[in-house]
Amino acid sequence: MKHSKAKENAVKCVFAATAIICIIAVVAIFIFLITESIPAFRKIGFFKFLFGDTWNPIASDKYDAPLSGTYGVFKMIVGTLAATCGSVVFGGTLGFFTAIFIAKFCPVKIKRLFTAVIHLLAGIPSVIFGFFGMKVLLPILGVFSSNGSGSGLLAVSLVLGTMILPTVVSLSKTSIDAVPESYYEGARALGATHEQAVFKTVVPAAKSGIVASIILGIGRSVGETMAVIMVAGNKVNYPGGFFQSFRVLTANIVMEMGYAGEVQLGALIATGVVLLIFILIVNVLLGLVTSRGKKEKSVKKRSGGFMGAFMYKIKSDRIGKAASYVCAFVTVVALFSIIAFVVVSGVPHLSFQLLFGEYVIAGAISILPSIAATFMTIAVSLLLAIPIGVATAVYLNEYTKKGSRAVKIIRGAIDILSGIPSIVYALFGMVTFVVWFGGRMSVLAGSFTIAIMLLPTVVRSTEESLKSVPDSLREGSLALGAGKVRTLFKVVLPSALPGIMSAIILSMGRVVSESAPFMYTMGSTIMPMPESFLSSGTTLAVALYKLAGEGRHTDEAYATAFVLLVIVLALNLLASFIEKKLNKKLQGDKNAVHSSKRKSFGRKKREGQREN
Amino acid sequence: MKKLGMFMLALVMAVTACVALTGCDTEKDILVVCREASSGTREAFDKYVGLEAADITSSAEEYSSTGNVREKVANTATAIGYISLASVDDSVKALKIEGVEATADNVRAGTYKIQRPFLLLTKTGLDLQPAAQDFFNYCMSKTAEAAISAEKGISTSDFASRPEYTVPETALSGNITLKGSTSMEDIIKKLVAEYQAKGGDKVSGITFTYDFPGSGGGRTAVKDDTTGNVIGLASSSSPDAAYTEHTLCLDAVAVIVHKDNDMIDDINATQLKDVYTGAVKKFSEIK
Repeated sequence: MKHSKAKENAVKCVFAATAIICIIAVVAIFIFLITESIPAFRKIGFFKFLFGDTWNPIASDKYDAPLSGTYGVFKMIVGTLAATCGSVVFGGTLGFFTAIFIAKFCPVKIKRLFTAVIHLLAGIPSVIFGFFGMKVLLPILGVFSSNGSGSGLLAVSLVLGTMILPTVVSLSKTSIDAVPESYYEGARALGATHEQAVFKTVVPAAKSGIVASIILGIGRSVGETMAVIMVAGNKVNYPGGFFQSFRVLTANIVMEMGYAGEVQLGALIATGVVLLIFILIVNVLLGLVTSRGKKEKSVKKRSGGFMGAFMYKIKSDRIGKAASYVCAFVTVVALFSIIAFVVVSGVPHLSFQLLFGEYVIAGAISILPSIAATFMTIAVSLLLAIPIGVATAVYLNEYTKKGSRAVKIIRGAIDILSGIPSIVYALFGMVTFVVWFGGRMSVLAGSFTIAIMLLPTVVRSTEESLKSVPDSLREGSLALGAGKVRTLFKVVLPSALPGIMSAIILSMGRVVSESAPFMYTMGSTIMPMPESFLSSGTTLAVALYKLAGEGRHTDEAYATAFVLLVIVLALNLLASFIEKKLNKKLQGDKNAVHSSKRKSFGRKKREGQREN
Repeated sequence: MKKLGMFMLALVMAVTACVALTGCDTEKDILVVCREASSGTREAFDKYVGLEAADITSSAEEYSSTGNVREKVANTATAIGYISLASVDDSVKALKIEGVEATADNVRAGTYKIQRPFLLLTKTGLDLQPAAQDFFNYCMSKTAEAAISAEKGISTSDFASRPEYTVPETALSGNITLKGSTSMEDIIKKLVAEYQAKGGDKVSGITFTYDFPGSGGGRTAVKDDTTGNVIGLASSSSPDAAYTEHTLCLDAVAVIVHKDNDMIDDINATQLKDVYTGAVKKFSEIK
């Protein structure tokens, strides 16, 4: 008995230790951001930095000498706000009506297909959106712009809006679906038409969920880097018109971090802090909306809020219906054209040399090294993030008291981390991991950077799936005499396996589609086969960015985009396949009824946010 | 559904009409494309034109690599930009400067005005590691001339007196970081390829790390180097006690426009200044 007690404690210690590693990583980023930005804020002046409208950095500026450059990010703050507003106006409206269409007006036959396509699109790398914007959107918009370029607020809004569409649509749809059928039936029983019931009863009831989905979309817009940089024009300007070249905060970081001097780097990190504050505001808003949503459901307070005002404007339900048809149509066209663009322009340029040939410096192009680098990165980052993330989740969920303050704080920190723009992680990785691994960019440095990014996702999704394991299973196992460790490994974790598996696949998808964190940690120059984990290299998404921007290898860029899309698609299919398989197996083996409800984890996770 | 179809049709027609109306006849404004502040190309261009960062027209667009600028200009009929002459290809048209064509001979003769050196930077007071030193020796040798001119680098008059490169007798290994100017990307990659071909298994143990954030990044990297593995790349001279500049070859900055742009062939510093400050907005107004 004593022996087993020691074992129990040992295991607990291991979990606690990993949780501490995870927390250290989380805390390290905050500390990094704060300590690195404070000297810059001091030197430049807090208000001068935030509200100064001249950005003219001088790389040779030092902290112990007078500044010769000017560091004011106000124009870029305005740029980020404008881009976000634009994308929400476009993506939010389209997404809102499309969600209503899918939930309430869509013929049953195409509903499933529609939903599946939207889910697929949520995984498409942002570089592909940017590439699409650059190759398809800009030439069209160029016709209307005075200088024929097409870059600017309109292009950014359209690209970002399309990017947040899947988020807005799928979350709004879930919250509309979550409205009890009785609301709709009640309205119909009182003589309302289908449209009236939908727009006057169901949609207002789903209001908080819809607003939450739009706020999440805002978060994504604020943090996006690569897609914006490809269509914004990037001169530091106020976004004074639809076609005015301007720069957002994230673009500022990625454009200058490669060569920044002392004060300049501090100023870029301070820019990251500004982004973080934006994200915090978004998170607080989200918290307010979801908690208010909960209250409202019990008090049944009707109307109020901007969604209410919005709904009031849709006086005629027929207009609402028409709008949802039109928006759904536009959404389909937009999303379909991106896929069609990638497939049609990519497939003809696929060649054996490009896919499997040897990359020759200053010679033949091959993306095989990039594919290899991508998988190397996936391997290392998952090896780091999955054990640590899962163990942290286990510790938080199984070993701590529910609702304890410390745990709440940790969870809060992890939630905030998951919203931090990837470019901020890139800065962190460049300053820490690149230095750790010999001062030069390497696969390892890139993998460590992305592993920290993955942690919040892994912890969150694992926790969700652990929570969904009913306590009765644990109690049953304990009552039968199994110890805590045994219960954990034989009962709890196997039941949570589908959730953990999908966390793994979500993470793989994230590694494949991210690009900004790798640019200055792993390399942005396409190289021959990485010889070791200390070699530099480019992931596929970075390779696409590079090939697309160079102008010389456009054909290869198209083909790369296609390969990237295929990998994302394959990961998506794999995710749903494994989930189905595991769920079935669990159901068969253990008759675990609870898991049958959890058909798709990714979706479930999001639903969880607004379910009471 | 029928109404919806009509509506969509009307929308499409309206859009087409707009395109037709705005797209025809009227000459568009010039799209000014520049590089980011740390670029050696931009330093050389601004110096020639006499341009201050603050004066650049707000409608300009800024890109952080040579390739990005070339791509933008190649895709925009009204664009004007500047890139390294070594990176000009037939996707864009290079303008004459003060009537002089951008060619290697004119650069060497000094008649083509916007020129600058391609520099290798080494840290003062820090010896390069054997591998980096060997690669450096190769780059600065007569042997490398073929590779340099293959990527359109312009040889200086001292090329003939440069030593021949000899392959080391013992095999070398280690990492070399090449960081700096994006204008030098093509030449540096070519040099590495030729170096590897030449050195065979004597140098096959050497790995290269490339990073092309612009000349400024190369200068910072060399200053911060403690290992002796870093060779900085800069495409304009900016003397500093912390590093030594070694001239690899010469290059010119070519002013480029869309390849079908027949409104302009020749331009000078004053005209370029007018265009880049926004004083002149159309190609037809350039005088």
